[in-house]
Amino acid sequence: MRIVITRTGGFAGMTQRHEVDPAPPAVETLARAAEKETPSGDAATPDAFEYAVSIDGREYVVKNPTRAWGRLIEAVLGK
Amino acid sequence: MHRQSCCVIPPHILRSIAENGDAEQRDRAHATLEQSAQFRGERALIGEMASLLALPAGEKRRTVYDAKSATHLPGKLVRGEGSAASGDVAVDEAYDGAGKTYDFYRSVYGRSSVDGRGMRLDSTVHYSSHFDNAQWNGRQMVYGDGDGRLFQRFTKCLDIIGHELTHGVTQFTASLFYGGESGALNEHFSDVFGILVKQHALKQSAQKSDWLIGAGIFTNKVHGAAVRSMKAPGTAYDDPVVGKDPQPSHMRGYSKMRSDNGGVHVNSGIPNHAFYLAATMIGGNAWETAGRIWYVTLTTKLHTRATFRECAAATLSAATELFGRASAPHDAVAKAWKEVGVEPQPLAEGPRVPIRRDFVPPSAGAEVPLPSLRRRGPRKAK
Repeated sequence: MRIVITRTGGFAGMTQRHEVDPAPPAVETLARAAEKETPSGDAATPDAFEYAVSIDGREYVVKNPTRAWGRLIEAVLGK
Repeated sequence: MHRQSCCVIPPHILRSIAENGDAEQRDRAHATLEQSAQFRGERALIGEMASLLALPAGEKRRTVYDAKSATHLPGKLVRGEGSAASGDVAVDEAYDGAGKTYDFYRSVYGRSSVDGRGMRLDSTVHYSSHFDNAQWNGRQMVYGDGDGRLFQRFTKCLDIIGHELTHGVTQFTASLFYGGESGALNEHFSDVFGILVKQHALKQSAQKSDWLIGAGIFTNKVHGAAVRSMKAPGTAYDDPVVGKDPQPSHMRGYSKMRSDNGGVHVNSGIPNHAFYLAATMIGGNAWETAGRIWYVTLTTKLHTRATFRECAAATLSAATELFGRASAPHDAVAKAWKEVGVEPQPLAEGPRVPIRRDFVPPSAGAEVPLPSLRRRGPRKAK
């Protein structure tokens, strides 16, 4: 599984791109869990981060991550 | 019911302390509340109680919470209005910065807090771990400590605190939709009043200011002076790891990117530069003339989906109202927009800013729906 996450926005408005290919099994599990939920792509709050997530070519825009999406993003972006 | 949230000190007594007690009494009551709520493990309770303890509307009311590297909001109450410095630098910077921002709006424009009605200013610091951001979540400020590698703590810059609180002012006034041109204007007004809060605190004229947003937020490992430059958008940083400042200073560089809500932090460079040009052409203290024009624009002349061109026309209209059509400020504002390639386009007739009379500040920790951002322009008469 190939996962690419591009983070934009935030107060600084800088772009960060992270890719895992192949994704480790633990991250694959998080991705499968995330894809079961609809990412909330609307209701942006000022200076919040925005994430463009690509999972094997399936594209998602995530603005206010749910718990499952948040876990995946954290796992791929690291702390 | 298991939870009895009002058994420590009855609310009517709290209210009485809030209205009649001195700073020390309020402090002691705060401490009592904090201890008892901690004892019962009810963090959410603190916010409710603290709101009762807050000063009567119309005065400066600040609270600072510590998220202790977690992501639960608001976190633990660590400082309230009038209480002594905590010794935690982020807590005290958030407190002082919110105070300077409040004082700026109050003394310069006569505005009582972000909502114009004395809303309490809540800040949470130490949010998450290595968090590279500061944000306004619709009801409070949230500050990260930075990752320490690229960014330092986000309370370090007064203009960042002013920027975040101005998102609150915008929410209660023009309510600019956070995407595309109106989103870039939302960012623009936050940068404008963010830098003006700083200039005002430093008693710094337009000529003396560095016009940098987030100056000194980077660690010394990053090649960059700041996050944005209003004087020279696109030049704030240029670094192999962080990249290069992408801001344009002219409409010909307008970015049609989809991410970042349509480039709200990128395209704000265009109006930002127009403000810098107008303020420096006018000279003196930027908050007195250019700032006043922009304040009147934000609070009375825009609609939710305003464009750059409409904003330009609105600032000219405000300049005319305040200083006259044939005045130097009006002339400077017109020249500034022309220089960044924005041709003023008058707004449609009708009331611009949705007036929110129904707002009641929610209790701390509550999920807060954003104000409706859906309306497109002035409502048509039926």
